[in-house]
Order: sequence, then structure tokens, then C-alpha cells
Amino acid sequence: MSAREFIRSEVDHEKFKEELEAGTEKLRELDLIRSLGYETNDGKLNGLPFALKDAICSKDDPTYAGSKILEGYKPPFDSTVARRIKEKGGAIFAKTHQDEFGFGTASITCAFGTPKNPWDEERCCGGSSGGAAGLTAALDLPHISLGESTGGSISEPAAFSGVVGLTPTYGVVSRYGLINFANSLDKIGPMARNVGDVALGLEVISGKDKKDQTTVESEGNYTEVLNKDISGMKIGLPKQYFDIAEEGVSEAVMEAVDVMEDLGAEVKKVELEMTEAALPTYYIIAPSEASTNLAKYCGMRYGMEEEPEGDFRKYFSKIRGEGFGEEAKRRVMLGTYTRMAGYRDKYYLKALKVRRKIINDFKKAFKEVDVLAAPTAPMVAPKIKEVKKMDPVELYKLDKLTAPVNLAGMPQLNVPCGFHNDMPVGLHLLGDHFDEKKILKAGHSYEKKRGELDYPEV
Amino acid sequence: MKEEVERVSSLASIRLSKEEKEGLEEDMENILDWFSRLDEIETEDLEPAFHPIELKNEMREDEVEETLDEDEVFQNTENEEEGFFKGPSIG
Repeated sequence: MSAREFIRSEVDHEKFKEELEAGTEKLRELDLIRSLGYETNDGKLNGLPFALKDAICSKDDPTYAGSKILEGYKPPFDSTVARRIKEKGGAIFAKTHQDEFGFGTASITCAFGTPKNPWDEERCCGGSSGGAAGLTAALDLPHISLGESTGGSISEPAAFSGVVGLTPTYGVVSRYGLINFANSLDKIGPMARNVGDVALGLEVISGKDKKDQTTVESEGNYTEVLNKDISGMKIGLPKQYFDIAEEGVSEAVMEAVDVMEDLGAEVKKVELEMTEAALPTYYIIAPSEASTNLAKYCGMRYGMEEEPEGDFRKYFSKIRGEGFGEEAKRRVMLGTYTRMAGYRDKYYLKALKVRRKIINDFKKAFKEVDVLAAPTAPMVAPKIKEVKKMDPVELYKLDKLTAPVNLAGMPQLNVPCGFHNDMPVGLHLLGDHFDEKKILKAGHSYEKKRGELDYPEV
Repeated sequence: MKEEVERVSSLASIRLSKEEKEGLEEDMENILDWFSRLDEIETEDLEPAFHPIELKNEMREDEVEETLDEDEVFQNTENEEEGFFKGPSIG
């Protein structure tokens, strides 16, 4: 049953609660979640279960952002997305494991266990919203899982885990109560087993919020585009993306493109010349912003603490040295370096100018086409033990096809589109700013034609 | 890179072990080298994109709203004294 069907059904909530709690047992074994229990709640969402990425605050629920430095933290307030879910009658039942503060592409930097991919438990779920994606692949009950993307952390794990993931335009969903990674890049978005349910999820959480001044008025009604015809829709294929992806991945994506062409879409090749430049640009801007955001974790007010004795510099350095994991330290160090006097122009400001060029590159493409279609990730989910052997730059490359669109703050939708080496492949549909409806329409048309996906029994 | 790692760890207030420092020296050298690829890209006359979309500064009414109770403010720390957060010495 889909989440959309669930909210309109007569549900025996006691029975549903038992089923959900039985389901969460396996989710914990796969290191996907921390369970919060399930309590229904009156409202139009009819008690629909929501799982929140560990970086999204909900009142009095443990919220650690995957970091030891926040272990034990219980926010005394709701994030705007949590408040909207509760006000509309949804139920928050789990926090999902993620890379520490979102710093990762495979969820191997989570301080509370490495999420295992339900399609093959030796493989990673992707990252950083790995637990969120893995949960949706593993849980055969109606639900919506909220992830957060800074450089691809919704699309990439959705592709690796064979689920649908929507990253909205920057500003469509409030970031209030999100444990921040990089303020100009962070976007909360829904994940589910089908396109219709992510459209519903976006309806629930989007909208202007006076607590986040970067938010914009939402169009709402995202589900109205479902079942609409895509004939005449112009779909662009960025050559560079297909060249970067492994052959088997590109082939699966091209089969999905052929399906959309059969449905009446017009397909043409486009150039996105800035593709190669995006990854280093992202890895300058994101850690630069993160290094200032993480300054607040210093053993005071919340999170890891000791008896505060001695000089403050020594105390802060000790707590931060013990509380941050390896990748968090690396990113804070890098981000501090790239903003430092003498290096700021060479790295940080230079990257922001290249970012302008990347945005312009997309804007030019969207003058010619309605949406872009490409592989979401260059490969399928790698094995966890292989990922652990990769050096940082190799690992960062898993973001190669998602970093550009995230730097541009444009909406993107991952839809599972077949398999390579028995693992799911993701079709990535990219839209211009605020064109969520176009990518949802294209994604839903394709998905209907593709048919149901057989998720693995876990 | 050794000196830079020392300086940055002090600026960022992160205590690092000897092994961590050595690892970071190597990583940062490789990563910064990779960043230098951007030098080849022409960016003259371009405005830095601090945000992906153009933001307008919007003002709102300055209204008093509900705030957290004292219990809630201190619910995440042991280091509370007489309604204040207790911290290390800055002297």
C-alpha cells in the first residue's frame, strides 16, 4: 500500500503499530535506524509513519546527526518539518543513521553503525542519508523517509538503495531545526518507494517559514502532476554525465530514456561543460561553510561535555578532538584552511565564482529543454569493505554527478530504472529552480510504465 | 604542510594525535592539489555565488513569541548553575 492510499484508508492502528514495530527490528539489525516507537496522531495524514534523518530535530527525541559529539542530545523543540508532520497527523517513528553531520557518500562515517544495503548486506546504502534510503528499501509498510542533501545525499543513497528520492529547490523546505552542514547547500527532501509518495511528502513539509528567511512560498499540490501526459516534454541528455558513468549504469539509464521517448517526450543531447569542475568546487564550499557551523560544538550547553575546568581553548580542543570523527576533523581542517587569510581568494572565493559558472551552465541548458535525464551515480553501490579502503578523493568522486545540481540548488529526482551487477541503478531527473512539478511528472510517467519493483525480503 | 596542520588545528580548536596530524598532512596535500584544478577556469567578471538563488532581505514584525522553559534550556547539560551555563575559564 502506498502512503497516499494509507492516508485515505480505514486503518486498524493497533495492528499497524505491531507490524511496524516488528519491521523496525530488522531495520535496527541492518544499522539503518534508531527506533522511537509509533504513536498515532489525529489529522489528515491518518498516522502515516515518517522516519527522520538523524540531523533533523524533533522535540525530546534523540537527535545526533550521526556524531558522537551529539550523543544523548534531545532537542527541546521541533524542526519546522517535524512540526508540520505532527500538525498534519503524521507520526515520527524513527531516526535514521547517516554519515557524521552528512560528511560522506557511503554512510561509513556514522558513529552509531554502518547502514547495510537491503539488496546486498555487504554493500553500502550510499550517503549521507544512507539509513533513510535503506529503511525505505527494507520496510514494506506505508511510510515516508526524510533525508537531507548538501551535495547529493538524497539522490545518491536513493540510487544505491533502489528508492525514489526528491531533493527540492533550495528554499522550498525550511531548514529550521536541521543540524546544519552547509547553509547555502542544505535541502531537506522526502524518500519513498514511489514518485507519488515523495510528491505527497513534499506537500507535507514545504512552504514559507518565518524561522528560515531563505524559504519561499511553496506551490503546494505536487501530487496534482501525477498521471499527466509527458508528450512534447523536452528531455536533455548531458553527454558528460553518460561518459563519466560506468557503461552498465549508462545503459540502464538510456533504456529509461527510451521509455520516456516512447511516451512522447522529445529527447536531445545537451552539453554541461562545467561538470568536471563541480566536484572540487563543492569540496571547497561545503567544508568552508561546515567549519563555521561546527564551531558551536565545544562541550557546552549540549552534546559531549566534561567538568569545564581550565583554559577554554584547552577544554574546547579536547572535547572536539574526542567528539569529532576522522572525516569531520578532515572537513573542519580543510574548511578552516580554505577560508584562512591568504588562501581565501585562491580557494573559497574562486570556488564561489566557479559555482556561478556552473549555475549559468544549467540555466543555458534549461533554455533548450524542460528537464535533464542522467545517471544519478557513476556506479552501483560498492561493497562496504571496498569503500573503507578508498582514499578521501576517491570517495568524494561518488558525488561527481550529484554535486553540480546541488551547487546550483536545483531540484532533482532519483527514480530506480533497472539493475547493473544485480544492484539498482538510478535515473536522475534534474529541473530548473522551482520546477519540481516537471521532474515529478516525468518521473511518475516513467515509473508507471516501468511497473512495480520487487524489493528484497529482509 | 606540517606547519599548516598545526596552525589550522589550533585555529579550529581540535586537538589531534601525532598519527592524526601525519594523516592529515598527506590528505590535505592531496586534496589541496586537487582543488588547484580550478585555477585553470576563467572566472574574471563573475560575481561569487554565495547562494544558489537570489535572496531578498525580508523584514518581519518584531513580535514576542513563546520561548523555552528554563528546564528545557538546560535539559541537555549537567553544567548548569543558578540559571546559567557553566563553562571553562576565559581568563
